[in-house]
Parts: sequence; structure tokens; C-alpha cells
Amino acid sequence: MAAFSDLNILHMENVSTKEKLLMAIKLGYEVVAINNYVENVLVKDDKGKSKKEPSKVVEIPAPVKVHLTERDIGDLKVKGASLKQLSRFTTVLSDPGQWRRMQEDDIQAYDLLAVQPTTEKLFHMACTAIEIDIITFNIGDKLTYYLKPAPVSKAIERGVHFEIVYSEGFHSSSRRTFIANALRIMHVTHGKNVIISSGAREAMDVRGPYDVANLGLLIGLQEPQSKDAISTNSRACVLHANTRHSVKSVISVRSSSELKAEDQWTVEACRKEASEESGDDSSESAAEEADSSFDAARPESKRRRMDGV
Amino acid sequence: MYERRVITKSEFHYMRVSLDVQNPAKALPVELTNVYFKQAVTAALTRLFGDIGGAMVAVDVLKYNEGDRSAILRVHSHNLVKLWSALTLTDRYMSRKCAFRVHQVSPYLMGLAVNSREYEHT
Amino acid sequence: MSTPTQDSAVYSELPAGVKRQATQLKLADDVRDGSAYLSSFLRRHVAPRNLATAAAANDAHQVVLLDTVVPKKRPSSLQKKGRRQLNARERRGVDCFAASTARQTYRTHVPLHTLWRGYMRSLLQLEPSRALAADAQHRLLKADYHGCVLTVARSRCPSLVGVAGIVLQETRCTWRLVTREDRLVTVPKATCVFTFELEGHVVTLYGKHFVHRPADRCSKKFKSKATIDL
Repeated sequence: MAAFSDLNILHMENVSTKEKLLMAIKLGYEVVAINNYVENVLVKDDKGKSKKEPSKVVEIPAPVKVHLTERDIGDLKVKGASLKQLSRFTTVLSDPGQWRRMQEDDIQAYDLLAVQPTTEKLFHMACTAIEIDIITFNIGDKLTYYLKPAPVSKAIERGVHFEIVYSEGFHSSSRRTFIANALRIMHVTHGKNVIISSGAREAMDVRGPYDVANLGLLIGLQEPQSKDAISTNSRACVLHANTRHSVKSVISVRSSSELKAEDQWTVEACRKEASEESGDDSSESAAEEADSSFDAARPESKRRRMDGV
Repeated sequence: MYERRVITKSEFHYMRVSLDVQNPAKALPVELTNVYFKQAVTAALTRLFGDIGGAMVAVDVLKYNEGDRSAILRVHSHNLVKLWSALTLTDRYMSRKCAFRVHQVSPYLMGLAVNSREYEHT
Repeated sequence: MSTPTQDSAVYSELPAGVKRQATQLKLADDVRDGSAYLSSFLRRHVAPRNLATAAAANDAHQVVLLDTVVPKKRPSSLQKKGRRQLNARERRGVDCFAASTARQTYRTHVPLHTLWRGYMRSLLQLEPSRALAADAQHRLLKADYHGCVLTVARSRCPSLVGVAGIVLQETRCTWRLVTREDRLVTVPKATCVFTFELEGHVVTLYGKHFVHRPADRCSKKFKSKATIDL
């Protein structure tokens, strides 16, 4: 089973995000996404029309990464796990022009992209056309549009996920709408591609993974589906986000310097060959020196540096 | 899609829960005794399921520890999901931000005594 | 050859009017009674070996097929070329796709790898310090990987993880690699993720979306898929 994930921990200016992460660690989450919420990526001028001008561009904050010490993640280390921090950007989709703005580098730098459509047409656009990872809703308020099965199934096919934020269910004023909307989402998606997350504004808003899985049962998901909503589906969502950064989901290219130490073995064979090629070709001793088979995890194996790298 | 079928059904389910409050060092307006704890649980049920729905879920507090605000609750098995979700969706106790933490759930009381994943048979 | 009787039912004489005009029409003498004409006709159109049979048949008023009809041969375009392509069955028999294990050694294919590196350098215009250009990345989708040193980085089958070697053959669903131990390994593409390094860039190939013949890959339009999960 995939690790428990909470893909919506709100990053707010006056509240400590680190506290929320520590709470998540204490409760058993291994993957968290710190969410930067910007309501409008385009600037409206006085007449109410959205207009993007170089001088009035909305400043998008950089992805947040919280520094955690070994002691902080001690609980996870005991289990042999570690906290994976992702960055997420959420915005309200109220205008088709916003998508063009979202394709720029400052927003594309985020790991996950989420939108909150406001009309049926924009919901259709989010499901079928644009390259985003999560579709979220203002689940505490009445949904102003119908969720039609056709765009929803297209979204599921593309790997887009639908989010249910459970912190909206805390307040008695929004609880009824929260459950009604959650039921509608569940009904139209048949439990597929649904992720449940906290939307935590404070550390106390985060609930344990099994509690959240039980909430899934409350809104009509089957038992395996509700557990998937906080683990497997979240993992699939993150993989979909990684696919965005690849070339047509077939190839991904990175610089060698970005390769982690534990992944160095994957290019060991190539490097060996390159160094032999650049070394003395005429002598046969290079062949005799060659190592034997390559094992899966051999961080201690000899690695000859490539020329120029 | 798979379905879990439980063969030996128990009538009740037992939960070990605790109430986690924000700023635990700061004293609560009214100290949480076992009576108040039970009241907090039933209030959570009533808030989510209404007067009748909440009243239909019979919860018993078998043990209560005032020190760490933890308790063992007993509920009929068919009401487990209702009780658990009511506890999850509670965020306030007497205007103080809080959260119910469910530590263990088991159809048998003895199941709460030990964690089968960490138990080492000697 | 006996001449037919004058009152033979088969041959009738020319009409009287034509006979009167014979000299003007420049008709030969023997045309008038038909028998001479018949004999000359037979001599013209029947093979000498069958002449006697034909005459006899003619007397007996019988029909004899003198020559067998040979159906005309349709000129085959392939035959015209002088060579033809092998069909699938013949190709399998020739065994051109099987790489004999005895003959494959890693060292013999190292020059192929060197060749491939040179090809990739010119194809992608590589520079270690700079990131790969977007169009160069797209060219990677259509590149030829024969001679590349691939490593299986991740796989659904645990025994395949770590397998590395020079690509000898690429088929629709597999890659045939020769490892350093001179072992010829057939690795299925669909369940593996491959990596290789080139001039300071690490390229990861998600085999699941690479299940195409190398010839087809050149013309294929790749579409983004939902996930790169194994």
C-alpha cells in the first residue's frame, strides 16, 4: 500500500507551517504537499475586466519547503520512512485566460497544480483540456454548477484527481453542504480518482489517516476506496504531476548533478563505458579491469568520474 | 474491488480515544471529568446526525483517564462508522480548538491491550 | 487428301453472280470449288503432325481438337525483377532475428556504442553545462538506440532491476542487450524504466509508453499519457 498523504496543508503567512508538518508527522503521514493558495493570478483593472500587464502582474510566491531536523522526523525514521514535502499551487479558475498565465515558469515550478472552477464551462475545461493535477471545490458552499459524468470520466482517464477537503466539515454552518457536495463528488466519480485532504489552516485541523479513511466510508466510498483516497490515489496524483515534467510522458531528462546518491548506480554502466572510451583504447587492460555484474543497490561500488562532469 | 467479510462478528466495537486540545498547558474553562467527556462525545454525535440520529447511537465510556484525557468507548458495531466520523469532525470543545485522536479500534476489548504488529511472542 | 464431293452439305458453292465476276474479283481458280481452298487453309493453320488427322476428321465430319490450349501466362512483376522478398514464414526460417549467443560478446559491440555516442552528440548538440533544448528532447523520442548502454532502473519484475548492457536489437516490445558477462538478455519494455547518461544528462525512458517498433517510432506522434507509473 502506498504511504499516507495529505496533499493540502495550507501555507499561511501568520501561522507556522512547520507546526502543521510536525502534527502530520506525529499522526503518521509520509507525504505532504504545502499549498500556496492565490485567488486570482490575473489582475483585474477598475472596470472589472481581467487584464495582464507587465507592471501589474500578480506576484506568485515561490514554492515553500520547510526545513526539518532529524529529531523532527524521528517518528518516521523509526518506521524506516521519511517525510516527502511537495509544493502545490491552487487558484480559483474564474476566467479562461488564467490558464495561459498558469503556464508560466513561476507557477510551473510547483510540483502540483490545482484549480477550483467556478462555472460549468470552466469545470469542463479543467477536466478535459488543461494540464493540471487536482480539481478542487469550495466544498463548504453550495456548488453553482452540475458535475456531469462525461467531463468527469474524461478527467479520470487523463489522471486528474478530485479533492475533498474535510476541514470544511468542522464548522456547523458548512457541514451540511460539505456532506452534500462530498456525496455528489463521490456519486459522479464512483469513488475513482478521489483524494481527501485536510486543507489545514492550523495544526489542530489535521486528522489521522485512519480517521480520514473513515470519513470516506461516511460519504459512501467502499472500504478499499476510502483507504486509497489518502494513499494510492494521492500517489497516482503525484506521479501524474511528474509526468507533466517529462517529454510526452515517455522520456524525462535531468542534469547529472541532480541525480541523488542512491540513484547513481542507474548510470554506472554508461559511465564505465564512457571512461573506458576516453581512457586508453589500445590496451586490453581496461577490459580486464571491468567489474562484474551490476546489482540493484550498490552505493559502495567503484564509480569512475566522467571527463568534464 | 474487494470486499471484506468478517466471519466472527462481535456485537460491539471498542475504541481507545483521547481528546487533544490546543495549548494543553492552558487550563480548560471546565475541567474534563468523565461526565463531561461523555457529554462531549454525545454532543459530537448530535452535531453531526441531529437530535434523533445522535440519540440512536448508544455510546458507553468504559474507562476514562483524566490525566491524559483518554478513554475506552464501546459502541454497537453497526454504529462504529457514525461514532468515528462524529469524533473526527469535532473541532471544538467549549470554544477551545481540539481534536479527538482515535488510537485503537477493535471488535474485542482484549484487542486494545496489545498492538499485534509490534507484539513479540516470547 | 481426298476432295469433298460436289454435293457435300458442308461446303456450298459460291453464288452464281460472284462466279461470273471471278476474273474481275481476281479470285483464284481453286476458290470456286472450295476443296483447294480447304487444303491450303489446313496447311496454313494446322501443324504438320496433325495434318493427316485433320484431313481424316474433315472427311468424317468430326470435330477434333488438334492443339491443346495453353493458358497465357500472366507476367509476374516479381519474376520480372529477378528477386523477391521473403515472406514471414521464410524469414523465420532464415532466423535473421535470432542472435546467436555464442557469437555475442560485450567487447565486440563496444565500437557500436562509440558510434552511437557520436550519433547522439550530433543529433542532440549536447553540452554538459547547458540543459537539453526542448526540440532536442523531442528528437530523443525518435532516436535510434542501437548501441546505447541501457540500465533497467526500475521494473515490475525484481530480477530485471540492475540489468545493463549494450542494445543489440530493438523490437516492438523488447530490447535485446548484451551484458558485460556476454549474456544476451531480452528485456520487456512495458514493465521497465530505463536510464542512460549522455554528456552530463541523465535520460530516463518510461518503457510503458515506448512499446513501438523503431521504424514506427520515427513517424509516430506521441501523446501525453496519464501517468508514468510502472
